[in-house]
Amino acid sequence: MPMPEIGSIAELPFPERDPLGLLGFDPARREPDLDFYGFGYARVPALVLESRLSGARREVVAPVVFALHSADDGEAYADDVDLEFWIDDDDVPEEEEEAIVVALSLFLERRAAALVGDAPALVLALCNPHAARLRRPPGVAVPMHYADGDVIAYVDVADDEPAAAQVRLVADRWHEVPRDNLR
Amino acid sequence: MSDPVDDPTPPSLRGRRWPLPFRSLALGAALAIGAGGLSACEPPSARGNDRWVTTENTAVDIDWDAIHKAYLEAEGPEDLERRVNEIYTGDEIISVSVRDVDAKTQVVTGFFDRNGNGAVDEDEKVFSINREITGEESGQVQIQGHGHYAHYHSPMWDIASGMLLGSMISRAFMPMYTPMYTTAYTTSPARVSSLKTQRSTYRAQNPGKFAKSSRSGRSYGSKGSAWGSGSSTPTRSTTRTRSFGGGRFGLKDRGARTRRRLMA
Repeated sequence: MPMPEIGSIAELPFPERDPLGLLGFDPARREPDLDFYGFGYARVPALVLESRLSGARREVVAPVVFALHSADDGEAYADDVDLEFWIDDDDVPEEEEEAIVVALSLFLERRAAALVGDAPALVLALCNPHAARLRRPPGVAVPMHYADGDVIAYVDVADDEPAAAQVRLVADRWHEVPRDNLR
Repeated sequence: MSDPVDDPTPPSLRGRRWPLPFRSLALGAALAIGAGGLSACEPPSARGNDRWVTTENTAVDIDWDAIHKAYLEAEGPEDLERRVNEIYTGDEIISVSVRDVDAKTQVVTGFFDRNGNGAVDEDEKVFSINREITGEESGQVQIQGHGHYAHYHSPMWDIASGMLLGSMISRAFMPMYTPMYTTAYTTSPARVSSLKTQRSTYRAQNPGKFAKSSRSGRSYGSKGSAWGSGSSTPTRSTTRTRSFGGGRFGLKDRGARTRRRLMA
């Protein structure tokens, strides 16, 4: 039976997921998955935010990370990004599957505060092809990190510590939304 | 307004780490066949060798892709012995045991025959290769490390009769095939010395591959060519790091999906 139609942002599935799966890691693959469309959120031990342009790295400790997707051909806004949620439904023919589009600002407004909870930071794993300047959503008091350009996740494993890893999100540039920029 | 994050925190790899769900997750991925070039956006500093594995207690590295290739191309157990020992960069000789479990399954074990008894003892195992014939023209190969290399599990590599295969494997695809090694072939202790001589000759002919720098060091073979540029060649005191790509958080081809916007 097909899933009931999603009629509002509140109804969008946005599950808490295993962090490695959320960020698209697969033990059988070395290369980045450029067709990845998984989404959801996770609390992670740390994330290294790496700026592709400057080489700068910054570690964010214990953030909540939202894995989201924008369309490469999405509309350009100065201060917002259109998100797309591709929701697979095995009971729906492929040609009838939808890409649900939601403005990031609306999505964060409706969903972020409850999911961030007491985490010390929010990181958006989200491509920002038009380098929109984002604002922190209402109800979220902690720093929010977001990127310009493509965002791709990497996991680094050192030979002498194969059971642990460092996870990087690499983008053209990373930004931290200042605390006084409440909407 | 927002502030660019440009404070160049040193690219420490000793920050807070994520536990991996199982210890060979990344290492297994590193050795997946076809794991060729790295993403253009991966910084050169993070580029590592996807084929070499070193563990804390390992004397030398083993190029598992090369072991896999050697098995595929071997003409028989003796040819495989030669190939494996040309690949192995340590001082020891790796003996080989080839056993056909049944008409479909072959197990090859590489081992250090430390006690010289010409048999595989559990603590002497270096690796085992499991080959399964899965169809008339297809099969699978998987390599498992042992001892110091126990963390290594290869992916399940497909083999097909159309591939460039040595007769050690290809004969398994022939009509009327009957397994040859129901009684295991095992490198005899007497053959070990001839393998040593053979390998010494090979190393002398290929000095660039065997730039032995330290008798006491963990790293014996030069891995410069395998690591790409010379600058990334590891030294004994350098911890090597491998990187694995995850997802990209943008979407390109949505195929037949139609867009529907939610406004509330």
